[in-house]
Amino acid sequence: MTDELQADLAAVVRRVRRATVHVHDERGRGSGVVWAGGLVVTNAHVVQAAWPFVETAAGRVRGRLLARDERRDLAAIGVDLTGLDVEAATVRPSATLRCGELVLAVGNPLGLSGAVSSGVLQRADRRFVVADVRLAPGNSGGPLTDATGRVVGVNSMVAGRLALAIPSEAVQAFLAKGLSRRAA
Amino acid sequence: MNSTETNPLAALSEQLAGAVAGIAPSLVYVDGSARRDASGIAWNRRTVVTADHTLERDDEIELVLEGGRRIEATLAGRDPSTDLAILRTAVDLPAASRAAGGEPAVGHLVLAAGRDEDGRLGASFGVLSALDGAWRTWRGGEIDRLMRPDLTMYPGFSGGPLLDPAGQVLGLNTWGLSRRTALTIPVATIERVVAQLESRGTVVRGYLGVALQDVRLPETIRAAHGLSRRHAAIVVDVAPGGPAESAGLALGDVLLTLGDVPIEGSEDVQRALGGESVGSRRTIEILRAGTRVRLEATVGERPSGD
Repeated sequence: MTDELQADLAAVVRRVRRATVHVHDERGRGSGVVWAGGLVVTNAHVVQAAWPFVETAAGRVRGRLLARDERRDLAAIGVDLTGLDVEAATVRPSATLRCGELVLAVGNPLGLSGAVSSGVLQRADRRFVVADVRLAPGNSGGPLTDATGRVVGVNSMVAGRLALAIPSEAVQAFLAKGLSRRAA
Repeated sequence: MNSTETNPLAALSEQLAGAVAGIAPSLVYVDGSARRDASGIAWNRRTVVTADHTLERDDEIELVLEGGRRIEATLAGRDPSTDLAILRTAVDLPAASRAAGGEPAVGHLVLAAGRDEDGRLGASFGVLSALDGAWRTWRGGEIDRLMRPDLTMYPGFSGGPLLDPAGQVLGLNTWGLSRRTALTIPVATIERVVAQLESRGTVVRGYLGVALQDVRLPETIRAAHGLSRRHAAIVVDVAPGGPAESAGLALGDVLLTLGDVPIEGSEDVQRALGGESVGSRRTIEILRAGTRVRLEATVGERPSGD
Protein backbone atom coordinates (compact mmCIF):
# COMPACT_ATOMS: atom_id res chain seq x y z
CA MET A 1 0.00 0.00 0.00
CA THR A 2 2.68 2.49 1.05
CA ASP A 3 4.96 1.48 -1.80
CA GLU A 4 2.14 1.96 -4.28
CA LEU A 5 1.30 5.32 -2.79
CA GLN A 6 4.91 6.47 -2.97
CA ALA A 7 5.30 5.25 -6.54
CA ASP A 8 2.06 6.90 -7.53
CA LEU A 9 3.04 10.18 -5.89
CA ALA A 10 6.38 10.11 -7.65
CA ALA A 11 4.69 9.47 -11.00
CA VAL A 12 2.20 12.29 -10.50
CA VAL A 13 4.96 14.69 -9.46
CA ARG A 14 7.05 13.68 -12.47
CA ARG A 15 4.14 14.47 -14.77
CA VAL A 16 3.45 17.84 -13.15
CA ARG A 17 7.13 18.79 -13.24
CA ARG A 18 7.17 18.17 -16.99
CA ALA A 19 4.46 20.80 -17.26
CA THR A 20 6.32 23.32 -15.06
CA VAL A 21 8.94 25.79 -16.28
CA HIS A 22 11.07 28.70 -15.05
CA VAL A 23 9.96 32.06 -16.34
CA HIS A 24 12.01 35.23 -16.02
CA ASP A 25 12.71 38.62 -17.50
CA GLU A 26 15.00 41.47 -16.46
CA ARG A 27 12.89 42.31 -13.46
CA GLY A 28 11.10 39.22 -12.26
CA ARG A 29 11.31 35.49 -12.00
CA GLY A 30 8.95 32.70 -11.08
CA SER A 31 7.31 29.58 -12.40
CA GLY A 32 5.02 28.85 -15.31
CA VAL A 33 2.58 26.17 -16.43
CA VAL A 34 2.84 24.65 -19.89
CA TRP A 35 -0.60 25.00 -21.42
CA ALA A 36 -1.82 23.28 -24.57
CA GLY A 37 -1.20 25.13 -27.82
CA GLY A 38 2.38 26.23 -27.27
CA LEU A 39 1.56 28.48 -24.34
CA VAL A 40 3.08 29.10 -20.95
CA VAL A 41 0.82 30.63 -18.32
CA THR A 42 2.29 32.52 -15.38
CA ASN A 43 1.47 35.45 -13.11
CA ALA A 44 1.38 39.03 -14.37
CA HIS A 45 3.62 39.97 -11.44
CA VAL A 46 6.29 37.54 -12.65
CA VAL A 47 6.77 38.89 -16.20
CA GLN A 48 6.40 42.32 -17.73
CA ALA A 49 8.90 42.28 -20.60
CA ALA A 50 7.72 41.67 -24.16
CA TRP A 51 10.20 38.81 -24.65
CA PRO A 52 10.57 36.85 -21.41
CA PHE A 53 12.72 33.75 -21.03
CA VAL A 54 11.25 30.28 -20.56
CA GLU A 55 13.67 27.76 -19.13
CA THR A 56 13.86 24.09 -18.15
CA ALA A 57 16.73 21.74 -17.35
CA ALA A 58 16.83 20.98 -21.09
CA GLY A 59 17.32 24.55 -22.28
CA ARG A 60 16.26 28.15 -22.44
CA VAL A 61 14.26 29.99 -25.09
CA ARG A 62 12.80 33.44 -25.52
CA GLY A 63 9.04 33.57 -25.62
CA ARG A 64 6.69 36.35 -26.53
CA LEU A 65 4.28 37.95 -24.08
CA LEU A 66 0.87 37.48 -25.70
CA ALA A 67 -1.48 38.70 -23.01
CA ARG A 68 -1.24 40.12 -19.53
CA ASP A 69 -3.93 40.94 -16.96
CA GLU A 70 -2.75 42.59 -13.76
CA ARG A 71 -6.16 42.45 -12.14
CA ARG A 72 -6.29 38.68 -12.47
CA ASP A 73 -2.51 38.41 -12.08
CA LEU A 74 -2.18 36.28 -15.22
CA ALA A 75 0.15 36.39 -18.20
CA ALA A 76 0.39 34.18 -21.28
CA ILE A 77 3.62 33.60 -23.16
CA GLY A 78 3.80 32.10 -26.64
CA VAL A 79 6.87 29.93 -26.98
CA ASP A 80 8.41 27.25 -29.17
CA LEU A 81 8.57 24.40 -26.68
CA THR A 82 10.45 21.89 -28.82
CA GLY A 83 13.75 21.17 -27.14
CA LEU A 84 12.53 22.07 -23.66
CA ASP A 85 11.33 18.52 -22.90
CA VAL A 86 7.95 19.58 -21.60
CA GLU A 87 4.41 18.37 -21.92
CA ALA A 88 1.25 20.42 -21.64
CA ALA A 89 -0.67 20.11 -18.38
CA THR A 90 -4.06 18.48 -18.19
CA VAL A 91 -6.60 20.81 -16.66
CA ARG A 92 -9.49 20.26 -14.27
CA PRO A 93 -12.16 22.84 -13.40
CA SER A 94 -11.47 24.00 -9.86
CA ALA A 95 -15.19 24.16 -9.08
CA THR A 96 -15.25 20.35 -8.96
CA LEU A 97 -12.77 20.25 -6.04
CA ARG A 98 -13.94 19.19 -2.61
CA CYS A 99 -12.63 20.48 0.72
CA GLY A 100 -10.02 18.04 2.02
CA GLU A 101 -8.84 16.80 -1.37
CA LEU A 102 -5.08 16.44 -1.69
CA VAL A 103 -3.40 19.13 -3.75
CA LEU A 104 0.17 19.60 -4.94
CA ALA A 105 2.08 22.75 -5.81
CA VAL A 106 5.13 22.56 -8.06
CA GLY A 107 7.44 25.48 -8.75
CA ASN A 108 10.82 27.03 -8.25
CA PRO A 109 10.77 28.52 -4.76
CA LEU A 110 13.95 29.66 -3.04
CA GLY A 111 16.03 28.91 -6.12
CA LEU A 112 14.99 25.25 -6.18
CA SER A 113 13.79 23.68 -9.41
CA GLY A 114 10.58 21.69 -9.56
CA ALA A 115 10.08 21.72 -5.82
CA VAL A 116 6.88 20.12 -4.56
CA SER A 117 4.69 21.03 -1.64
CA SER A 118 1.48 19.32 -0.67
CA GLY A 119 -1.61 19.83 1.41
CA VAL A 120 -5.36 19.82 1.17
CA LEU A 121 -7.91 22.04 -0.47
CA GLN A 122 -9.78 24.55 1.68
CA ARG A 123 -12.19 25.93 -0.87
CA ALA A 124 -12.45 27.07 -4.44
CA ASP A 125 -14.51 30.07 -5.42
CA ARG A 126 -14.51 32.32 -8.47
CA ARG A 127 -11.66 34.46 -7.20
CA PHE A 128 -9.29 31.95 -5.68
CA VAL A 129 -8.51 28.34 -5.07
CA VAL A 130 -7.49 28.37 -1.39
CA ALA A 131 -5.27 25.53 -0.20
CA ASP A 132 -3.47 24.42 2.93
CA VAL A 133 -0.13 24.37 1.11
CA ARG A 134 3.08 26.16 2.00
CA LEU A 135 4.36 28.32 -0.84
CA ALA A 136 7.41 30.57 -1.14
CA PRO A 137 8.42 33.30 -3.58
CA GLY A 138 9.27 31.50 -6.81
CA ASN A 139 6.15 29.35 -6.63
CA SER A 140 4.32 32.23 -8.27
CA GLY A 141 2.98 31.23 -11.68
CA GLY A 142 3.41 27.51 -11.04
CA PRO A 143 0.68 24.87 -11.04
CA LEU A 144 -1.59 23.79 -8.23
CA THR A 145 -2.86 20.33 -9.10
CA ASP A 146 -5.16 17.64 -7.75
CA ALA A 147 -3.99 14.19 -6.66
CA THR A 148 -3.82 12.97 -10.25
CA GLY A 149 -1.74 15.92 -11.44
CA ARG A 150 -4.48 17.86 -13.20
CA VAL A 151 -3.99 21.62 -12.91
CA VAL A 152 -6.73 23.34 -10.89
CA GLY A 153 -5.06 26.71 -10.52
CA VAL A 154 -2.01 28.92 -11.03
CA ASN A 155 -0.32 29.80 -7.73
CA SER A 156 -0.43 33.51 -7.18
CA MET A 157 0.04 34.53 -3.57
CA VAL A 158 0.38 33.54 0.03
CA ALA A 159 -2.08 34.65 2.70
CA GLY A 160 -0.85 33.68 6.11
CA ARG A 161 -0.06 30.01 5.67
CA LEU A 162 -2.60 29.53 2.91
CA ALA A 163 -1.85 29.31 -0.79
CA LEU A 164 -4.05 31.31 -3.14
CA ALA A 165 -4.20 30.19 -6.75
CA ILE A 166 -6.02 31.65 -9.75
CA PRO A 167 -8.74 29.11 -10.65
CA SER A 168 -8.25 27.10 -13.84
CA GLU A 169 -11.58 28.43 -15.15
CA ALA A 170 -10.27 31.99 -14.83
CA VAL A 171 -7.11 30.98 -16.72
CA GLN A 172 -9.18 29.52 -19.55
CA ALA A 173 -11.34 32.65 -19.69
CA PHE A 174 -8.24 34.86 -19.65
CA LEU A 175 -6.69 32.90 -22.51
CA ALA A 176 -9.87 32.91 -24.56
CA LYS A 177 -10.27 36.66 -24.17
CA GLY A 178 -6.61 37.75 -24.20
CA LEU A 179 -5.62 35.71 -27.25
CA SER A 180 -8.68 36.49 -29.35
CA ARG A 181 -8.20 40.21 -28.72
CA ARG A 182 -4.66 39.93 -29.93
CA ALA A 183 -5.77 38.08 -33.06
CA ALA A 184 -8.44 40.68 -33.81
CA MET B 1 -2.37 7.38 -16.71
CA ASN B 2 -4.05 5.20 -14.09
CA SER B 3 -7.75 5.40 -13.58
CA THR B 4 -8.98 6.94 -10.36
CA GLU B 5 -9.96 3.55 -8.95
CA THR B 6 -6.48 2.11 -9.13
CA ASN B 7 -4.59 5.28 -8.32
CA PRO B 8 -3.75 5.12 -4.58
CA LEU B 9 -3.02 8.84 -4.26
CA ALA B 10 -6.35 9.77 -5.82
CA ALA B 11 -8.03 7.19 -3.57
CA LEU B 12 -6.45 8.78 -0.49
CA SER B 13 -7.50 12.21 -1.73
CA GLU B 14 -11.07 10.98 -2.16
CA GLN B 15 -11.01 9.52 1.33
CA LEU B 16 -9.80 12.77 2.88
CA ALA B 17 -12.44 14.80 1.04
CA GLY B 18 -14.99 12.22 2.16
CA ALA B 19 -13.86 12.61 5.77
CA VAL B 20 -14.41 16.38 5.60
CA ALA B 21 -17.77 15.95 3.86
CA GLY B 22 -18.77 13.44 6.54
CA ILE B 23 -18.12 15.78 9.46
CA ALA B 24 -19.58 18.83 7.68
CA PRO B 25 -23.18 18.51 8.99
CA SER B 26 -21.80 18.28 12.55
CA LEU B 27 -19.29 21.11 12.19
CA VAL B 28 -20.42 24.63 13.06
CA TYR B 29 -18.97 28.11 13.29
CA VAL B 30 -19.34 29.52 16.81
CA ASP B 31 -20.09 33.23 17.05
CA GLY B 32 -19.39 33.90 20.70
CA SER B 33 -16.71 36.56 20.51
CA ALA B 34 -16.10 39.77 18.65
CA ARG B 35 -12.41 39.02 18.36
CA ARG B 36 -12.01 35.29 17.86
CA ASP B 37 -13.34 32.91 15.28
CA ALA B 38 -14.10 29.42 16.53
CA SER B 39 -15.63 26.16 15.45
CA GLY B 40 -17.77 23.68 17.34
CA ILE B 41 -18.72 20.01 17.05
CA ALA B 42 -22.28 18.68 17.40
CA TRP B 43 -21.70 16.11 20.13
CA ASN B 44 -25.18 15.02 21.06
CA ARG B 45 -28.50 15.78 19.40
CA ARG B 46 -28.74 19.34 20.75
CA THR B 47 -25.36 19.79 22.34
CA VAL B 48 -22.41 21.43 20.63
CA VAL B 49 -18.98 21.28 22.22
CA THR B 50 -16.42 24.02 21.62
CA ALA B 51 -13.21 25.49 23.06
CA ASP B 52 -14.08 27.51 26.16
CA HIS B 53 -11.38 30.16 25.70
CA THR B 54 -12.95 31.29 22.44
CA LEU B 55 -16.22 32.32 24.16
CA GLU B 56 -16.23 35.95 25.30
CA ARG B 57 -19.93 36.15 25.91
CA ASP B 58 -22.30 34.08 28.02
CA ASP B 59 -25.29 34.95 25.89
CA GLU B 60 -26.24 35.99 22.37
CA ILE B 61 -24.19 33.12 21.02
CA GLU B 62 -24.96 32.04 17.47
CA LEU B 63 -23.91 29.11 15.36
CA VAL B 64 -23.44 29.00 11.59
CA LEU B 65 -24.34 25.64 10.10
CA GLU B 66 -23.56 24.01 6.80
CA GLY B 67 -25.00 26.15 4.02
CA GLY B 68 -24.61 29.34 6.07
CA ARG B 69 -27.78 29.00 8.16
CA ARG B 70 -27.54 30.87 11.48
CA ILE B 71 -29.15 29.55 14.66
CA GLU B 72 -29.15 30.65 18.29
CA ALA B 73 -27.43 28.70 21.00
CA THR B 74 -27.30 29.02 24.77
CA LEU B 75 -24.27 28.42 26.92
CA ALA B 76 -25.09 25.30 28.94
CA GLY B 77 -21.82 24.91 30.82
CA ARG B 78 -18.16 25.72 30.70
CA ASP B 79 -15.03 24.21 32.14
CA PRO B 80 -12.04 26.54 31.75
CA SER B 81 -9.79 23.89 33.33
CA THR B 82 -10.10 21.62 30.28
CA ASP B 83 -11.00 24.48 27.90
CA LEU B 84 -14.33 22.89 27.00
CA ALA B 85 -17.77 24.46 26.86
CA ILE B 86 -21.13 23.13 25.76
CA LEU B 87 -23.80 25.02 23.89
CA ARG B 88 -27.45 24.02 23.64
CA THR B 89 -29.38 24.37 20.41
CA ALA B 90 -33.11 24.28 19.76
CA VAL B 91 -32.41 22.45 16.53
CA ASP B 92 -31.33 18.84 16.15
CA LEU B 93 -27.87 18.47 14.71
CA PRO B 94 -26.32 15.15 13.65
CA ALA B 95 -23.83 14.08 16.31
CA ALA B 96 -20.27 13.67 15.05
CA SER B 97 -19.08 10.10 14.89
CA ARG B 98 -16.21 9.47 17.24
CA ALA B 99 -13.33 7.10 16.76
CA ALA B 100 -14.08 3.96 18.74
CA GLY B 101 -11.14 1.73 19.55
CA GLY B 102 -8.28 1.53 17.06
CA GLU B 103 -5.59 3.37 18.98
CA PRO B 104 -4.18 6.37 17.17
CA ALA B 105 -0.41 6.22 16.75
CA VAL B 106 2.27 8.81 16.20
CA GLY B 107 2.65 9.26 12.45
CA HIS B 108 -0.98 8.53 11.58
CA LEU B 109 -2.46 10.84 8.98
CA VAL B 110 -4.89 13.35 10.43
CA LEU B 111 -7.06 16.26 9.29
CA ALA B 112 -8.13 19.34 11.21
CA ALA B 113 -11.32 21.05 10.13
CA GLY B 114 -13.18 24.26 10.86
CA ARG B 115 -15.96 26.45 9.57
CA ASP B 116 -15.86 30.18 8.94
CA GLU B 117 -18.45 32.88 9.57
CA ASP B 118 -19.84 32.51 6.07
CA GLY B 119 -20.38 28.81 6.65
CA ARG B 120 -17.46 27.70 4.49
CA LEU B 121 -15.41 24.66 5.44
CA GLY B 122 -11.67 24.66 5.94
CA ALA B 123 -9.27 21.78 6.42
CA SER B 124 -5.61 21.12 6.95
CA PHE B 125 -3.65 17.92 6.71
CA GLY B 126 -0.72 16.44 8.60
CA VAL B 127 0.31 13.71 10.97
CA LEU B 128 -0.19 12.91 14.61
CA SER B 129 3.03 14.30 15.98
CA ALA B 130 3.01 13.36 19.66
CA LEU B 131 0.99 11.14 21.98
CA ASP B 132 1.53 10.70 25.67
CA GLY B 133 -0.27 9.82 28.86
CA ALA B 134 -2.73 11.77 30.98
CA TRP B 135 -1.77 15.30 31.96
CA ARG B 136 -3.09 18.31 33.82
CA THR B 137 -3.59 21.67 32.15
CA TRP B 138 -2.18 24.89 33.63
CA ARG B 139 -5.64 25.41 35.08
CA GLY B 140 -5.71 22.00 36.69
CA GLY B 141 -7.98 20.25 34.21
CA GLU B 142 -7.54 16.50 33.70
CA ILE B 143 -6.85 15.53 30.08
CA ASP B 144 -6.86 11.79 29.40
CA ARG B 145 -3.93 11.85 27.03
CA LEU B 146 -1.59 14.30 25.43
CA MET B 147 -2.32 14.56 21.71
CA ARG B 148 -0.51 16.98 19.42
CA PRO B 149 -1.07 17.06 15.68
CA ASP B 150 1.49 18.48 13.28
CA LEU B 151 -0.58 20.52 10.86
CA THR B 152 -1.51 24.15 10.36
CA MET B 153 -4.15 25.12 12.87
CA TYR B 154 -5.74 28.06 11.07
CA PRO B 155 -7.58 30.88 12.86
CA GLY B 156 -11.06 29.63 13.70
CA PHE B 157 -10.03 25.97 13.96
CA SER B 158 -10.09 26.07 17.79
CA GLY B 159 -13.15 24.07 18.86
CA GLY B 160 -13.11 22.07 15.64
CA PRO B 161 -12.34 18.37 15.23
CA LEU B 162 -9.20 16.41 14.60
CA LEU B 163 -10.20 13.62 12.24
CA ASP B 164 -8.71 10.35 11.12
CA PRO B 165 -8.82 9.67 7.36
CA ALA B 166 -12.06 7.73 7.85
CA GLY B 167 -13.68 10.90 9.17
CA GLN B 168 -13.95 9.77 12.80
CA VAL B 169 -13.37 12.44 15.44
CA LEU B 170 -10.19 11.89 17.46
CA GLY B 171 -10.65 14.99 19.58
CA LEU B 172 -11.22 18.74 19.71
CA ASN B 173 -8.46 21.12 18.68
CA THR B 174 -7.58 24.16 20.74
CA TRP B 175 -5.00 26.90 21.08
CA GLY B 176 -6.21 27.46 24.65
CA LEU B 177 -4.13 24.89 26.52
CA SER B 178 -0.62 25.88 25.49
CA ARG B 179 0.86 29.17 24.35
CA ARG B 180 3.28 27.41 22.05
CA THR B 181 1.21 24.83 20.24
CA ALA B 182 -2.29 23.75 19.38
CA LEU B 183 -3.32 20.55 21.13
CA THR B 184 -6.17 18.10 20.75
CA ILE B 185 -8.47 17.22 23.64
CA PRO B 186 -9.21 13.50 23.22
CA VAL B 187 -12.71 12.08 22.86
CA ALA B 188 -12.57 10.39 26.29
CA THR B 189 -12.03 13.73 28.02
CA ILE B 190 -14.78 15.39 26.03
CA GLU B 191 -17.24 12.60 26.89
CA ARG B 192 -16.43 12.91 30.60
CA VAL B 193 -16.57 16.71 30.74
CA VAL B 194 -19.70 16.93 28.58
CA ALA B 195 -21.47 14.44 30.88
CA GLN B 196 -20.57 16.56 33.93
CA LEU B 197 -21.47 19.81 32.25
CA GLU B 198 -24.78 18.41 31.06
CA SER B 199 -25.78 17.24 34.53
CA ARG B 200 -24.45 20.20 36.55
CA GLY B 201 -23.44 22.98 34.16
CA THR B 202 -20.01 22.96 35.72
CA VAL B 203 -17.13 20.63 36.41
CA VAL B 204 -16.28 19.81 39.99
CA ARG B 205 -13.00 21.31 41.15
CA GLY B 206 -11.31 21.42 44.51
CA TYR B 207 -11.19 24.71 46.42
CA LEU B 208 -9.06 26.05 49.25
CA GLY B 209 -10.06 29.70 49.22
CA VAL B 210 -6.63 31.28 48.91
CA ALA B 211 -5.01 33.57 46.42
CA LEU B 212 -1.37 32.73 45.80
CA GLN B 213 1.62 34.25 44.17
CA ASP B 214 4.81 32.52 43.10
CA VAL B 215 7.76 33.33 45.33
CA ARG B 216 11.48 32.60 45.23
CA LEU B 217 12.86 30.88 48.31
CA PRO B 218 15.97 32.63 49.70
CA GLU B 219 19.11 30.50 49.85
CA THR B 220 19.32 30.75 53.64
CA ILE B 221 15.78 29.38 54.07
CA ARG B 222 16.43 26.58 51.59
CA ALA B 223 19.61 25.59 53.43
CA ALA B 224 17.97 25.84 56.85
CA HIS B 225 15.13 23.53 55.85
CA GLY B 226 16.95 21.27 53.40
CA LEU B 227 14.70 22.28 50.52
CA SER B 228 15.83 21.50 46.97
CA ARG B 229 13.09 23.51 45.25
CA ARG B 230 13.84 27.14 44.47
CA HIS B 231 10.28 28.42 44.35
CA ALA B 232 7.05 28.09 46.31
CA ALA B 233 3.70 29.92 46.55
CA ILE B 234 2.89 32.67 49.07
CA VAL B 235 -0.62 33.36 50.37
CA VAL B 236 -1.72 36.86 49.35
CA ASP B 237 -5.41 36.54 50.24
CA VAL B 238 -7.59 34.21 52.28
CA ALA B 239 -11.31 33.91 51.53
CA PRO B 240 -13.39 34.46 54.69
CA GLY B 241 -14.98 31.21 55.85
CA GLY B 242 -13.13 29.17 53.20
CA PRO B 243 -11.32 25.84 53.80
CA ALA B 244 -7.94 27.58 54.10
CA GLU B 245 -9.13 29.99 56.75
CA SER B 246 -10.75 27.15 58.70
CA ALA B 247 -7.44 25.28 58.56
CA GLY B 248 -5.63 28.30 60.02
CA LEU B 249 -3.79 29.45 56.91
CA ALA B 250 -2.87 33.14 57.10
CA LEU B 251 -1.64 35.93 54.88
CA GLY B 252 2.09 35.60 54.23
CA ASP B 253 2.28 31.81 54.76
CA VAL B 254 4.44 30.09 52.16
CA LEU B 255 3.04 26.78 50.81
CA LEU B 256 5.60 24.00 50.47
CA THR B 257 3.44 20.91 49.99
CA LEU B 258 -0.24 20.14 49.55
CA GLY B 259 -1.07 16.52 50.28
CA ASP B 260 1.85 14.74 48.64
CA VAL B 261 2.33 17.37 45.93
CA PRO B 262 5.43 19.59 46.29
CA ILE B 263 4.47 23.20 45.58
CA GLU B 264 6.83 25.21 43.41
CA GLY B 265 4.25 27.75 42.33
CA SER B 266 0.53 28.48 42.28
CA GLU B 267 0.02 26.19 39.26
CA ASP B 268 1.01 23.18 41.36
CA VAL B 269 -1.77 24.05 43.80
CA GLN B 270 -4.26 24.22 40.91
CA ARG B 271 -3.09 20.83 39.75
CA ALA B 272 -3.45 19.33 43.21
CA LEU B 273 -7.08 20.43 43.39
CA GLY B 274 -8.70 18.18 40.78
CA GLY B 275 -12.29 16.99 41.11
CA GLU B 276 -11.20 13.97 43.13
CA SER B 277 -9.77 16.21 45.89
CA VAL B 278 -13.18 17.60 46.92
CA GLY B 279 -14.07 16.56 50.49
CA SER B 280 -10.67 15.01 51.17
CA ARG B 281 -8.41 16.04 54.08
CA ARG B 282 -5.01 17.26 52.95
CA THR B 283 -1.95 18.14 54.94
CA ILE B 284 -0.60 21.56 54.03
CA GLU B 285 3.00 22.20 54.86
CA ILE B 286 3.92 25.86 55.16
CA LEU B 287 6.72 28.20 56.16
CA ARG B 288 5.57 30.78 58.68
CA ALA B 289 8.07 33.31 60.00
CA GLY B 290 10.91 30.95 59.10
CA THR B 291 9.37 27.92 60.82
CA ARG B 292 7.83 24.87 59.15
CA VAL B 293 4.22 24.33 60.18
CA ARG B 294 1.76 21.58 59.22
CA LEU B 295 -1.93 22.27 58.91
CA GLU B 296 -4.88 20.07 58.00
CA ALA B 297 -7.48 21.30 55.54
CA THR B 298 -10.65 19.81 54.12
CA VAL B 299 -10.76 20.62 50.42
CA GLY B 300 -14.02 22.30 49.45
CA GLU B 301 -15.78 22.55 46.10
CA ARG B 302 -15.03 25.54 43.99
CA PRO B 303 -18.05 27.84 43.70
CA SER B 304 -19.26 27.94 40.09
CA GLY B 305 -18.18 30.90 38.06
CA ASP B 306 -14.89 31.12 39.90
